[in-house]
Amino acid sequence: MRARNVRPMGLFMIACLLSGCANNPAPRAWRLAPAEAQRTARGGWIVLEPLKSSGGDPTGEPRIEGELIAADGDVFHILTASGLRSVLRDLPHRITVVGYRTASGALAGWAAAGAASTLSHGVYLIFTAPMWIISGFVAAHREGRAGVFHDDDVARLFARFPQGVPAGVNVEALGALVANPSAGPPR
Amino acid sequence: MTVQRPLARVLSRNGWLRAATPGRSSDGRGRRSRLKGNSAVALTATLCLFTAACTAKRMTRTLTSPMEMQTLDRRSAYLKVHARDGEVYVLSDWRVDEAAREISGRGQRMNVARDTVEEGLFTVPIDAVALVETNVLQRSPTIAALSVITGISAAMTAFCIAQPKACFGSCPTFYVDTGNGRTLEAEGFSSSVAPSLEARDVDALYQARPVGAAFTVTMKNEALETHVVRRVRLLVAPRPPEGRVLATPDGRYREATEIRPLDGCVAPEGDCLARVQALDGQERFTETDGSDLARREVIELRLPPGSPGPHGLLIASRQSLASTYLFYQSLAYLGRSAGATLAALERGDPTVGNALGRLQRALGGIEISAETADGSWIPAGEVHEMGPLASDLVAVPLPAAATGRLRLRLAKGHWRIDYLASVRLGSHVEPRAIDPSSLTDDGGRPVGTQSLTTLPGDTYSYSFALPQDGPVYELFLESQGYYLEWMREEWLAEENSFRAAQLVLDPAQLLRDIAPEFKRQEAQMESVFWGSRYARP
Repeated sequence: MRARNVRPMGLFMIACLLSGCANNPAPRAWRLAPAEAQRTARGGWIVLEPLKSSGGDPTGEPRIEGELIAADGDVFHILTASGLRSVLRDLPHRITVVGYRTASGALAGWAAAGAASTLSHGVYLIFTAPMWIISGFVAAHREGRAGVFHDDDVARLFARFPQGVPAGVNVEALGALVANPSAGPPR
Repeated sequence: MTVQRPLARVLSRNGWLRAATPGRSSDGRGRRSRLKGNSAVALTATLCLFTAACTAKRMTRTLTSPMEMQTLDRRSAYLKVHARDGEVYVLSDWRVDEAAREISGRGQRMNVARDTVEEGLFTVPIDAVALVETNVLQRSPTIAALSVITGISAAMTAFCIAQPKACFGSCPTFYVDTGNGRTLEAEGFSSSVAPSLEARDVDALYQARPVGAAFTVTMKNEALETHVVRRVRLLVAPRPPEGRVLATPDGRYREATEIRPLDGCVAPEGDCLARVQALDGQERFTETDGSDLARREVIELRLPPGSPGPHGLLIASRQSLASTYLFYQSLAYLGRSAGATLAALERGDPTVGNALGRLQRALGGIEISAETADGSWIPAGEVHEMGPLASDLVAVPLPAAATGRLRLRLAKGHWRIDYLASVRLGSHVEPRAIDPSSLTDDGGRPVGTQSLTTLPGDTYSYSFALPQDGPVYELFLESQGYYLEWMREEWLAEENSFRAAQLVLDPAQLLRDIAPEFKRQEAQMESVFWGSRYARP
């Protein structure tokens, strides 16, 4: 394979990887694989970006992000790096909840390798290479979005307390945000 | 038409011995690196497939209230039991006993801060539960989509690997404007597979339609080969009124007028006149004999009545892929000794040279014979156009005593005949050579030298300034150089010393022995061949 051929394949692979990663705003340690996410007792990573109005432009104020503790009737409780924040759900915002991480990178690699393999197809490469590139990009992009949600109602599913803050629990005393929420090895 | 030095002529006539440059040739390192590259791609693809198939999972999370325990998704490997007091149990091997109003399982109990406070077997009263959470992992649907594409792609790759000898390969290709876009009109020095076999090749650009004084020829390397192109020139000769200029098998050029379609063409399969009446790509072709690749067939021709002498027979033909197959198959049989064989050839080893001569005679070209007034048949000439890509035209002069009935004798399945016509041959002409006025690469950048070394995917454009001094000119393309075939890994698997010996000692028997194997692949060979041209993504 000559450098001239490798270059577009490399760019394609990078584009696929970026298309997957660009959708996931959580710190790396908080992007749990599905196998871990099914066992973790912590909430998912949430990002709230204040907006000027519902569906409008960002206000420019700092976004609020951390572990989603609970999505009560009218409040998001978020354990941030600086402590617990409670944000009214009625305030205009753009929400992103990271439930788990997907294998968009592996799919992108798969598609890139597939695209590279079309060098053996002679002139049929005209058909098979675009087939790989288009489907690979779409697959990686969709896969990258699979574990990330932007719906207020879905957020509750990934809260530490999906039932809401239990009676008698002082959310101010939950401790600090952990750097690594990994659930540990499977049991 | 190929004009070569003596050794090259011995080698090339049937095209099969466009010998390899294996082993430690000048491009050996590149080839090894390429094979390594292919292996790396295959390994990467396998790893990516394995990784993606194992890790690309989607998770469906569901919360269930204690009142709806019967709806729990039992596929969930773990059950997270969210207690009313904020603690959570993460349980495997879980079960729900609705009668006893209990959930049991093995796992961990965690406090509200999510510190593990206890591990082991638990039984949790449903009445103490706020919500139960299930998480079901399923293979991502994108895996299925990419798997389908992988299947299609792998099938395509496997097809080329299974029939590597059908994959595109043969010398530089030349494209010119024919009024219907740029079409493949010539292939250069098809038989020059080593430096010592460097040859000059001339092809008629019979269908070229130059517009104005500028004429452009595009040269491509579309095979897994290294092409060394020493020179490309145009040969131009003024056409006679209402006539053309044609090359003859002896490498000379003659004026040709009164070009007329034949009156009859009968081949073993029946009337073949419609196939050979025009230079239109509709070729007369039959498959090879299943028991002997050298088996001959005869085509009977009849010139139109009143054909004035001296006649000539115009033939536009190209080789079928049988010769390409034989060439690649020979390389496969020689395997790792292909380099030594080629070296012996270059040293002028008579053993190899004689063997090639025998094979050449076994396959032959298109032999033309003419009937005379006393009913006997006399040989008129033989056509040996090299290469399976583009048809070339030649005019074979016919004996003055010819009655008008002709016979073509040729190896079955080895030749594709596009056009046959009767011509009146006039005087000899000496074409004028024109060097290119400019040469550019595929990016339009000027190239300072005529001597090029091209790799798969390379494209160059030659511009020529045609004479504007009155007559219409016949155009011929002259190319000179050689090329280096890339030995392919798949071929080494077929190394066969018995067949290699047969190639040298008894080529006629070899052609019989391998005929059935060729027959099995013959039907698909043409489409695979053209489909496997090297193209850049």
